[in-house]
Amino acid sequence: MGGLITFSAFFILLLNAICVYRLVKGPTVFDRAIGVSLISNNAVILIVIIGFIFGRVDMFFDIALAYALLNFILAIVLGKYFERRGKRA
Amino acid sequence: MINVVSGVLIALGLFFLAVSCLGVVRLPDFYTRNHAAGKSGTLGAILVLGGLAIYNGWDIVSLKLLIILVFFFIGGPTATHAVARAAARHGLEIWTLKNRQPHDPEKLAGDEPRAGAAEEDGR
Repeated sequence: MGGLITFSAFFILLLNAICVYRLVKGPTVFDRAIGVSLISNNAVILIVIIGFIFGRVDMFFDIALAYALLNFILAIVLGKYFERRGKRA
Repeated sequence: MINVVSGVLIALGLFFLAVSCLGVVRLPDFYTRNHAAGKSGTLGAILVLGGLAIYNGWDIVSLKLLIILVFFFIGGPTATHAVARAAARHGLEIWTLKNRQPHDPEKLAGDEPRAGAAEEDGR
């Protein structure tokens, strides 16, 4: 079971490295927003898994929850900002 | 038994995370990419966190994991919907079979986005 958890940590790291492609080469800014959102989602899971690997889940969970809140607020604010800018232009 | 159930859940979650990442990289349009990122990403995150919570057992840490799972369940589709609504009001065109134009025709000129097309335009 510990082997599966370590494998999933490295697998999620690999997925994040693949998602950087969309972040760098998105044609519009919304594609980049999606890339950032997906990478942050994977990073939250990665933080929880790292907590399981180190045996300190109670400490790493708080970091993961704060990061998830930041990710959510980032997506909402990006949507609001570009929606308003599109209306004005 | 608990190890088997949590292992199956974590493996399924990793599969869905891989599907979402592949969809975001490979699909042709913003809206299809958003569809892949929203549903598969949320489902994969929920499955992985649920598997970890089952593996941990019944204590306060598992309850905290359930809290972050519920937050993913509510916040993920909301964020996806916010970005998609912003793109729709911004005026992004939907990719169809009849109109295969990429949504930014200045950067990508052909049917298929060639490698290095953005650099040729001097960006």
